[in-house]
Amino acid sequence: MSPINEQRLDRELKKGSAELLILSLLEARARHGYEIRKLIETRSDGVLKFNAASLYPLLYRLEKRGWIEGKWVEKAGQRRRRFYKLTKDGRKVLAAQRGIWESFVAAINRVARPENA
Amino acid sequence: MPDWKPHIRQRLARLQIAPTREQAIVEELAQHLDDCYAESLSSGATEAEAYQRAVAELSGKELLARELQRVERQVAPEPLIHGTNRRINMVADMWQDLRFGARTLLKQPGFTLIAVLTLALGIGANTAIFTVVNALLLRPLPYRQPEQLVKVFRTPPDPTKGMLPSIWSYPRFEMLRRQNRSFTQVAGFNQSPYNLTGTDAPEQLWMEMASDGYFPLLGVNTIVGRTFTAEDAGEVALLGYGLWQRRYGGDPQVVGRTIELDKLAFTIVGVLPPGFRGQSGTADVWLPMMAAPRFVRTILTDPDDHWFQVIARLKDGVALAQAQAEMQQVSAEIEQKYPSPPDTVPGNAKVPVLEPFQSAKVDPALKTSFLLLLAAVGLALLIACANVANLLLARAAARRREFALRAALGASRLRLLRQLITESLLLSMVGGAFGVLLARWGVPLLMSIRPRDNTQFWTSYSHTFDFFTVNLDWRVLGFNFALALLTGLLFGLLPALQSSFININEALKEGAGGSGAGFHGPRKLSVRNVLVGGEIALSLALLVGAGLMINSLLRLQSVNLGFAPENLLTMTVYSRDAKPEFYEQALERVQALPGVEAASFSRNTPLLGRYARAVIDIEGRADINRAGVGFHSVSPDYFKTLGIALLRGRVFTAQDRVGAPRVALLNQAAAEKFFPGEDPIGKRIRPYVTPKYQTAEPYIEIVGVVADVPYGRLEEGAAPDLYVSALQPTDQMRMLTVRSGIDTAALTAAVQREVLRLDRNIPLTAIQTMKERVADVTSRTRFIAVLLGAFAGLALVLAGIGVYGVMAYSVSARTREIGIRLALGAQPSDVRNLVIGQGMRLALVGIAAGLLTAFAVTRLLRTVLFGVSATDPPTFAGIALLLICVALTACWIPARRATKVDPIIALRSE
Repeated sequence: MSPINEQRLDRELKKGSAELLILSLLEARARHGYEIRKLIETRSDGVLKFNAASLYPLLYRLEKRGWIEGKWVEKAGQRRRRFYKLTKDGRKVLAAQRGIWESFVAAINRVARPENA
Repeated sequence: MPDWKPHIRQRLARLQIAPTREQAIVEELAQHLDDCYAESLSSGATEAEAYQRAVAELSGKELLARELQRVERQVAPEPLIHGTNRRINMVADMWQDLRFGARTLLKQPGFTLIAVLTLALGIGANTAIFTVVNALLLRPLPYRQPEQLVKVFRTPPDPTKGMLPSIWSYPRFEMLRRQNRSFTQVAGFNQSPYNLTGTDAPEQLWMEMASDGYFPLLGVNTIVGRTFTAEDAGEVALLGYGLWQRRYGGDPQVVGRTIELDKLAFTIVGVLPPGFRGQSGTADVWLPMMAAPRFVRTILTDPDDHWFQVIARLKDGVALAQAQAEMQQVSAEIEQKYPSPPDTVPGNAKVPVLEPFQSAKVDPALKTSFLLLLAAVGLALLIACANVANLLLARAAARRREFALRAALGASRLRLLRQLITESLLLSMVGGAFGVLLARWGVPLLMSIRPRDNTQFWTSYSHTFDFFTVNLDWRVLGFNFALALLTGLLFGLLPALQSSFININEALKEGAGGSGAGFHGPRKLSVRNVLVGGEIALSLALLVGAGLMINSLLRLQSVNLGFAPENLLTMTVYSRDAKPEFYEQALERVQALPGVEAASFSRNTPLLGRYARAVIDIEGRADINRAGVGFHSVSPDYFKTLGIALLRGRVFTAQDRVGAPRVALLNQAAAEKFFPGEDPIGKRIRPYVTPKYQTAEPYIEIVGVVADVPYGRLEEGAAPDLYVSALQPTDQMRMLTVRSGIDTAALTAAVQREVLRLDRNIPLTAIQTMKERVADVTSRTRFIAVLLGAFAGLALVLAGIGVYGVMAYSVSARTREIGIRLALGAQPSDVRNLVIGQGMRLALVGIAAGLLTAFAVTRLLRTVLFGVSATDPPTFAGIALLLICVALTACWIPARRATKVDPIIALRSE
């Protein structure tokens, strides 16, 4: 699998899947921005990459919509970090988006699969 | 570790995000870059590589800003208000104040909308009323040096008596013209309807008969041909512009052609300019006074035939008082040559009265009405000002910190004051601008319900709104602008002064402003209390005025008319030379029309405002010598047609005609006045008919008594009336009255057809249902009642909002106190009573003040009230009760809110 052109992927992701990625990652527990960025990169084996310039505006937008909630958390001996967690609304949106995504991918696969396989 | 913040800030710079928010974003992103840098280092990168990777996270210069732009709200930068007081910056400062003011106002659209709307209503209503006052009383008449023009009343004018005694006879007028030394010119004119004859479409034209000095005196000239000269012998005519266009197609060759009026021919010598419609504002055609003898032979030689009005132009440098003083001598000379007939004009009233032309055109009662309305609408604006001032005070309380900060940064008090006044003026100017729009729309509305006085008879005062053009002009716009300016200062100054007196330390120490302000402002609250109390007082005065007018209107409308106005149509069927036979024949034809129940001719009909009069002697009664009565010549079916009840004896029959013994009827008022406790039937009276009161009539027997009917103003009540049979002619008929169920247009067409069959030169004019006429005679009272009611209603709403505003503010400011009370065991009902008690104390003080004010000012209404005293206790009590109810409602809502205060939240809030 060749790495997709990063800028194009950026655009594509922003169109829909980026939100799903973030919401999914926050489903289990609250995470901070850098952690989210690393997780997306490692779990996609480096195929999907977000830099700060596109990640944070996205986080702020989701926060504004009330799907995630950011909170500054201080831990002894560390600098404070902003942790994001999924809200009740966010959880509903995630369930919905996940459903749509799965049927979408299945549909794409049915169409795009080589016919003589 | 490198400092990332400058990199990030640089990328955020153009977004102008609120500072605290920007701080948070920078911190979070810097954290991210720190993490990234640290990780790169730990995975073996050099410092330079790690630095590169971290900066790459920000991905060029634009992406971050572009993405954030969609999410983050930008704040408009607040420009600094420079605290200079130097004169050089005056204009720049003002511009800045204006822009800042506009932005501040737009930031609170709710407040701005309410304030502008309130002001627009207030200023607009004032502008509309002023437009009428301006047209009637202020705008100079469109004549040369109008301030020199005076009206010459032969005797003091009495508007309630239709001005009859103030008109002149030609010989007396000639003496005035010759003997005076105060006037450059004296002219007479008379206005009456004449029929345009000699065509197949007869038409009633308003004709003004003018003496030769008339046009030069006014300074009016013709656009075609010439005006009258002293040499004109009475066979010439001038056309009005409208008639010239309508009947002659604007043909300039019209001079020399003939026009036929009441079957007499006149040669057209000129055309008057557009817009000039004579002294009534309705004239179509002008004849020289020398033409009068062609209609009534003796009219120019009989000193006791008074038939026209007189105007004069004062000589340069002669004051009105000086000319008035001279009238004493002139009248003595006139009286010596032409002594007034006995008992018609009392001795002390024989001196002519001069009045400036303009004010002589407007009925004093109408003038009073409009000045009253202007005062009332001014009061309503004052209330609106108080309301806006209250809003501003509440806003000022919330803006204390802003002002304190500015003052701390060096703005002088004057500078702050100017900023605030600019804001107020901005509000009032916008309100004023909308007010002009409202007035433009409101003036036609006002005119559509204007007092009507369009009777066929013409007095100095009638047709006021035909004569004056009521429209907006520069004077009205100037008034509007000045009013807006004044209003802005009025409602802006107090809050501005309060805000500029600021204790910087105190204000800055407070929390974020707003909630705490109430506790520090007992004085502020008391100013607001005074404002609201004043509002209540003023609106009570307005409401009492409106209540009295509505009361008058209801009483006026329930006056017993004495006849049944439903299904009655009246019209004028008049020709100067029509014979009694014509009327008898016409009546027969009209009565024969299908659907007509009854019809009659008469000299007068009820409620026309003016009617023929006579004086009577009673046989064998020396105590009654030339007593005045209304004189009514009627055809036999008159009483049946109008539905006037017969009380005693009989009404006229077809046998009461020439040759039979003459008979008369009295109305009840006359019977009671002249024959108290006696039966008037069979008694004999002798009438002397106007204008000369000298005709030696034989004695006439009274055969019946009928119910009272108002012929003059409805307000005057019943006066003694004498009826004679039209079949025994003493006077000419004019008015046809028809009772039928047919619709007006169809009936009119049918009657016109019948009349034209008898005489093709007689048009039907002044067609009006009796219902319309009844509405007309109550129109002035209704007009004042409606407008005063509207203004008072507006005032009531504003005052209600005012009370509500103050109470709501007080409750929100006292949330903590109320919370403590509740926490300490007060019941919700205690809290509610506390709030309502506070509000009602305020309201009651206002109401008491208002009652006193109303008591003092309603006497101004006295002249326009009917059947109700200016201090009518039920009205006062009722209005006070109404205001109490409104105030209670306005307090109730905040009081309920107060009971809902949660003590825990309230105590935590500070």
